[in-house]
Order: sequence, then structure tokens, then C-alpha cells
Amino acid sequence: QPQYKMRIQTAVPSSSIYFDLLKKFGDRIEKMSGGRLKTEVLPDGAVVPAFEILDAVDKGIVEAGYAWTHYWSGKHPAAGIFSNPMAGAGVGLDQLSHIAWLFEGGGYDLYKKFYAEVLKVNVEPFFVQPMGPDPLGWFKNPIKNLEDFKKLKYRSPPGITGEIFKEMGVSAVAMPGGEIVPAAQRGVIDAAEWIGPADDLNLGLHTVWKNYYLQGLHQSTDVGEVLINKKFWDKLPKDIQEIIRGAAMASMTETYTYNVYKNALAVKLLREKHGVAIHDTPKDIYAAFVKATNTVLDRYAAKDPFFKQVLDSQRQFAQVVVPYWTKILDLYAGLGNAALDTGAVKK
Amino acid sequence: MSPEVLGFVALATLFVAIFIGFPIAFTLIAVALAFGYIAIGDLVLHLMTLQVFSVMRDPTLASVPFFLFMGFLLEQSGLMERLFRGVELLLANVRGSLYLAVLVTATIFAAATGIVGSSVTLLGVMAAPAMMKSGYDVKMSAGAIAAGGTLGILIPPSVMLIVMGPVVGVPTTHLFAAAVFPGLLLAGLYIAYALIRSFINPRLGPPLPPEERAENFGIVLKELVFGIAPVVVVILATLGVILAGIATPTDAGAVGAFAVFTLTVLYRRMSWQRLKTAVYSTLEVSSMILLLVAASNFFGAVFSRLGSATFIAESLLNLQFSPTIMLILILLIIFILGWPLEWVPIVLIVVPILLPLVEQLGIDKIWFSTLVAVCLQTAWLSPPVALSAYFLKGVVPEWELKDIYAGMLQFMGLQVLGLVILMLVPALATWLPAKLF
Amino acid sequence: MATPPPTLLKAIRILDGVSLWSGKIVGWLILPMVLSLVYEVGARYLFNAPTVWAYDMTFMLYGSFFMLGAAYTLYRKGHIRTDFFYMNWSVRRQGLVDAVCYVLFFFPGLTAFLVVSWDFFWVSFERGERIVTSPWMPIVYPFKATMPLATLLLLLQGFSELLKSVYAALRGEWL
Ligand code: NA
Ligand code: NA
Repeated sequence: QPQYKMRIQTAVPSSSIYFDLLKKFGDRIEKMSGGRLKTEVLPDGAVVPAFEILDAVDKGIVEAGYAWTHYWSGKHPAAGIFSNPMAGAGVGLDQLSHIAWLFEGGGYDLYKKFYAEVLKVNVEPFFVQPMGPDPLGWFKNPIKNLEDFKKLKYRSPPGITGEIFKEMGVSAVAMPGGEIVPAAQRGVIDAAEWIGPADDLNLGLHTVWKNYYLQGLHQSTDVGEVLINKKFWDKLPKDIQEIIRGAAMASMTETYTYNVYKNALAVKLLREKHGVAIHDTPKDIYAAFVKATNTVLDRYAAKDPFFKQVLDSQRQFAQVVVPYWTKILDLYAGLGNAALDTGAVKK
Repeated sequence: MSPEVLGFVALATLFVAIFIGFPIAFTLIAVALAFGYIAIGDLVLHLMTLQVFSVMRDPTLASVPFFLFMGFLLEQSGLMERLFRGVELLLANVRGSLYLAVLVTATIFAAATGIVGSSVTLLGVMAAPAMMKSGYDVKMSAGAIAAGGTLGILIPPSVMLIVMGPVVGVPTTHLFAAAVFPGLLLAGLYIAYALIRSFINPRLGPPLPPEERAENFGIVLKELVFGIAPVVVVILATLGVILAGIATPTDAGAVGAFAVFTLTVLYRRMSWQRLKTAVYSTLEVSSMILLLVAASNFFGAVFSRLGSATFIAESLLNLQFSPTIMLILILLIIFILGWPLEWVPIVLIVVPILLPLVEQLGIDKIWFSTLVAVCLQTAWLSPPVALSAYFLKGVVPEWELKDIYAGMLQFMGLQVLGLVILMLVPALATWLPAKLF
Repeated sequence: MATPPPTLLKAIRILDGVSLWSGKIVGWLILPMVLSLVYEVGARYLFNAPTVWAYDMTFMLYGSFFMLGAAYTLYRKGHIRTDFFYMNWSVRRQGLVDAVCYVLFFFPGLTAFLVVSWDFFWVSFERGERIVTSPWMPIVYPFKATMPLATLLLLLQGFSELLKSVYAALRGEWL
């Protein structure tokens, strides 16, 4: 029987929890295929750096890549709203209802269309890791409201997200992960967001700043993707293709649970061992962020028909889902808070 | 032939091909293209495009032209020669005083920048003319500059440690703290070596001949205050803003170049001709350095793609020895791989594979990372594939490459000594981070 | 010794002239590189008003600077060689080795690279690609265009060097 080997060039360092999860994804494929498809997961920069991954997979330099669609928003703005429709597309989708849009609301079809017809690249795309939300991040001093936030220099993700912060009046700067800690030490920035508690712990921002805001709106949802070179994909036998589809679905659940636990452990460690204070994001930031998001997204939708098609699809889906789902989220928030308030769970 | 074996043949070919004498950047590209083509066909060309482009948009490397421009402006104005001359006047009796000046400058510079290219070239431009004029030994002069320059990648800030932090899962801040004393230890070893050897053999670093010495201390003082102080102030201010955490090295490089330009105009040492010379020299040397970096990254990427590094590291996992022997073996492999390769593929490919083994053996990760960092710093000094030597040759064409190599080999010996000390005294790396965090 | 053929001299003069002039133009990019970053540092630290464009401007100029300068550097013999055997060889032998290396090491790879990097630029141009890591989000294809352009300039200068080395191999004299 023919043997296949799939190298996955990722956009994360080997110590990231998402790197671990990809290895689990790869192991599962190897086992399910009875060893016919071998996988190798490569850290950021091993063959190419993060922002070159799509081009590398398209050309076949590596058989597969791992990143987030918003990494390609320089090639087309709609890339930004597949993995990370900011503030739940400005219509309040949470991570689970966003995935519901992907699977039940026509999102996945648009996603495939995006690569095949809009970018015209040779990739077979899969969503594998729902990892939202990204924390609002680390702050030198606590903030009470939006006005406090506006006085700071803040490291935000680049692209449309950065534009939304600008629209709100926050002076956002973009810089690669490796520069965040040195810049924080030098006072070049006063606040910064990175990925999530577990990965932030590795970056070491807690050694510089002690104020941590877990509730971020800019990447309230975020889904990692695996891109497979189309030529390589087409050569795979039908059953192995189905195995990859199944492993991708399995990885969705696995990430969801892994994320909850690993991040919770990291938060516990940050609080108890490193003296980090966890704050709630001030409420006036929510409204301002949603407003700025809709302004910026509308601006893009006016310029590009495909962007509009994706955004409209998300907004229509939200009209159905958000009224119901928000009630359910209130249930869980209420339940958790009751457990904390009654002392059933220690704060 | 399996791709892994092909990788080793590529390394061997590179060792031989580099001696043919064709420009090294093009030799690297040709060897990488040829072997990459055998393994992955014309995909290798796309890999080259992506690698070159990632060097073209690397903000850290952008400081290279700035520091070079600053150096060439100082050289053209003659201010730098005056500075090193001043040090010699001050330390007229000390044999090898310029080595001391170069290595102290290198250490300060290392604490300001995170890469090797800018340190080696700036030191070369600034110090080599003075060393040649004073009849210093070419080999030891070249060795001191090349080795001093590589401290830039060990003493924080360091791009290598910034990349290594997420790989080993230790915050970069801890690695920075861990590298401080080993960096100073190496700087101390270099200085002691250069001064002791000059003391024993004055021809290596002759003291100023009596007829050139200042008649009294007043003249020295006057020269120091009027001739040298402004230059020192500008240079220290440039490095100071980086050290104080006000600006990034790239920012400071640009501001420093601007300040030096202003200073040379104020000293009336600037002319149209001198500016043109500085501009064209900056272009020529920047192109040489950065094309080499791109070519060497490309070679490393092909080597990674062939899987040879993975193969070596995985073979090591199957061995059963005591932790100490395993650690020595691991470092030996990293040292040997660093000979032909630069640090990037080693940090990204080899280290993650060996890391579970290191953890299983109960070796402290901060100490391990620091040992790896010192090993990889040595890679810049290991001929024949030694970028540090090429950078230096580019700014000091008068020095022959074989002399530069001979000088570097002496300092490589000191690196090994430093590594042994660090192995025997782990606290050199682990004490400061434990104290600080 | 016979005088070199005038057409050969003319060809070399023209090719060298292209590289020389490209260097004389590209070299001055160092000034806007320095000035835009100095402006940024001033605006940021003195007036707390960072620009969105200065960093991208500097970094794109930096990448173009060293790539487009590669041909000039080749003309100036600035790309370092490991010369300790080379320098002891006769001129004829140096010329022969160089000519063979240009034919085997230089032209095939760089010609292919010209095609591929042109394609890299063209795809970016057709998409109107922008830099996503920047708040300014400038278009990136003019910057990507410097790659094929720099390669073309290198190939031209390489041809001049090939002519010089063939002449050296045949006549034992460098032009
Ligand atoms: Na440094
Ligand atoms: Na080396």
C-alpha cells in the first residue's frame, strides 16, 4: 500500500498548546489510516515563517499548513472574518454560535469558495481548532473605562482588528510576538494582547505587567485552520480523505475542552504563583467596540461584494441564533456566578 | 539516496565548494538549489523566494544599514580614528590597549543590539584602521573584533534568545537574565586572553612608541574632552536609549546615524565627497551582508526540508547514557551542526526534538538553553562557514580571510573554555533569573 | 598583447554602467530610510503621536535597498569570496574557474529565480495584496517587484563578469 507523508508547517512555536493539539490531530490521522499517512508538525519558521504559509502550501513546498484565516487578510479583506469575525461579527456571535454558522449557516461553503474562487489557491481548507476568546490582554496599570484605555499605547493584532481599535480612539500598534516583551519592558507600549492564558504564560508578559483582562472582544472567536495542498489532497485515497475530515471534526471538540482546562490552569498559576490580578473588562468598552466594529465592517462590505456576502450571511444567522443563545449564555454565567458567590467554588 | 543522507552530502559539498573561491553568497544559493532540486524539484525556487522575502521584511535586520551608515560617516570624518587614538594616548604604557578598547566597546554594543551583523561591521569599520596603523597583530585583531561582535547574539537583547524562548517554553525575560553572566564571562575571557598574550609578546599589541606619546597629561585631557567626548556622547546616547529601554535597536540605529551626520557637519568634517563615499559603502556592505544572511537562511531551510537535522536529533533519542554524558553529546551535536549551519534551523528543528529528552533527564531548561546559546554563538566563529568572518572581510578588505580565520579559531578555543566553565558552574546561568523572577 | 575587441569592451562598459548607476540611485535610499524613522521616533517620543506609515516605509526601503544593491556590489567585487586558494592562482586559472562557476552556479539558478520571483510579484499585483501586519496596510507588490528587478540587474552584471572572466581565461589579463 502506498505511504503518504504530510508535513504541517504551523504559525506557532513548539511550546504552544495549539502545537500539542496539532500533534494529537496528526497522531489520530496516523492511527486511523493504519500508518498509511504519516504526519510531521513543524514550528513557526521551520520551513517558512508564519505569514508565508498559505503561499508555501499553495505551491506545495509543504503538504499542509496551520494558521488562521485572518493571516491572509492582506490578500483579501474577507479572510479576516472567517476565523475571527470581530466582536462576533458585530452581532454578538460567541465561539459556539460562530461554529454553528460555519457548519449550519453556510459558513463552510463560503470558506471553501474563498480559497478556491476568490484567492484562487490550490488548497483544501479545514477548520480544526476553536480557541476564542483571546484576552483583552496585559496592562501596566488597571483601567476603569474606555477613556483610560484610550490613553494607552496598545499592541493589537494587525489588520482590520487594529483598524477597529483606531476607530474607537485607541492607539493600537502591531508587532510580532517576539518583540512584545522587550517593547513592554522598554515602555514602548503600555498594554498588549497575545493569544490566551496558556500561551501568554510562555511569552512571559506576567514578568513585566500584573494586570490581566480575560474578556477580549477583538478576537471573541478564533478558529485555527489546516490548509492542505490540493494536488496532495487529490492524490490521497478516498478513505484517507474521510479520515482527515473526521480528525478535523474530532479536533474541534478536543480543542474546545483542552482550551478550557489548560487556560484555566494557566490562570490559576498566574494568580497564585505570579501575583497577577484578573480584572473584568469595563462595560463601556463593549458598546464602543461593537459600534466601531460595525462601522469598520460596513466600510469593507461597501467596497467588496464577497466581503459583504460573508458578513451578510453571519448577520442573518445571528438574527436567528443570538436572541436564543444569549439567554443560554446568561444561564451559564448566572450558574457559575452563583457557584462562586455561594462559596461552592472558591474565588 | 534518502533525503536525510542528501542533506549531509549537501553540507559536505558546501564545505568543499566554498573553497573554490566563487562569491560565498552565490555558492550557498547554488548548493542549496542543486540539492533542493534533487529532493523537491522546482519547489525549491518557491522556497528561495519565500526565504529571501522574509529577510527583506525583517525589522531587526533593518538596523544593519543604519549602524553601517553611522560607522562609515564616523570613518569618513576621521572622528573614530581620533577616538581610538585617544584611548591609546591614555593607556600609552599598556600593551594591547586597543584590544581592551575594542572588546569593551563590543560588550557595550552587545548589550544594545541583538544581532551579529551590525556589531561586527561597525567595530570593523571603527577599530580596524586604528589597529592597523598601530601595527597590531592582524590575526588577533580580527579575532577580537569577530568574537566581540558575536557577543551581540548572546548578551541581551538577543534575537536568538527571543526565538528560543517560545521553543523551550521559558519566558524570554528569564533567558535574557540567564545570558548576562555567561556573556560577561566570555567578554572577560577574551579581554584576559588578548591582554595576557600582548603582555608576553608585545608585537601582538605594541604600546605607543615614546615619540608618539603625549608630553603631559594635560594634552591627553584636552584631546579627550574636545576631540573624543562628543563622539563618545553620541555613541553612548545611541546605545543608551536602547539600554534604558527607550527605543528599539532599529530606531536607535537611525537616530544614531542622524546624530553622527549632524555631529560631523558641526565638526566641519563633512563634504559632499565624503557623504557619497559613506552612502555607497553602506550600500555595498549592506548588500553583501544581507544577501549572505538570505542565502544562508535559504540553505538552512533546504537542510531542514531534507530532514537531516531531525534525523540526527531523533537518533540521539535512542541512546541510553547518564544525564551528564547525554548533555555533553547533545551539546556536541549542536556544536557540530553549528559549524556549517547558522542558529535558525538548529533552534527551530533540533532543539524541540531534544527538549523532551532534556526534561526527562531532569536538566534545568534555563541552564540548557544558555549552554545551547553559547554553542550557537560559537557557530558564527567556526570557519569556513562563518558569517562573522565574511562580514569583517567586507569592511576590512585589507585583511586576508585566512588570517581572520586563524584569529577566530583562537577565540573559538575560548568559547569552548567558557562552555566548560558554564557546565561546571550552572549558577552562572540560573542564579540571576531565580533572583529576579 | 593584442588589444581586446572593441565590441567586448563596449558590452562590458554598458553592463557595468547599468550596475554602477543602479547603485548610485539605490544608495541614496538610505536617507529616506533614516529620516522616516527619525521622524517616527521624534513623533512618538516627543509628541506621543506615532505615525502609521514610518515603520513600513523604512522596512520596505530596507528590503529594496539591499536587494537592488546586489548588482552594484557584484560590480564592485563586494561579495566576499574564500580567496586563499583563488588569490594564488594565475589570472588564466582565475578566469577559467570564474567562468565555469558563473555558467554552473550563477546563471541557471538566478534565471529560474527571475521567473519565479516575477510570478510571486505578479500574483500579489493581481490580488492588490496589502501588508497585513501593519496598521497602515500599504500595498506590497511594488516591494515584491524589487525581487525580480534585483535579479535581472544581477544577471546583467553577472554577464559582464562572465565576459571578463572568459577574456581573463583566454588572454591572462583582467579587463
Ligand atoms: Na545583544
Ligand atoms: Na560556522
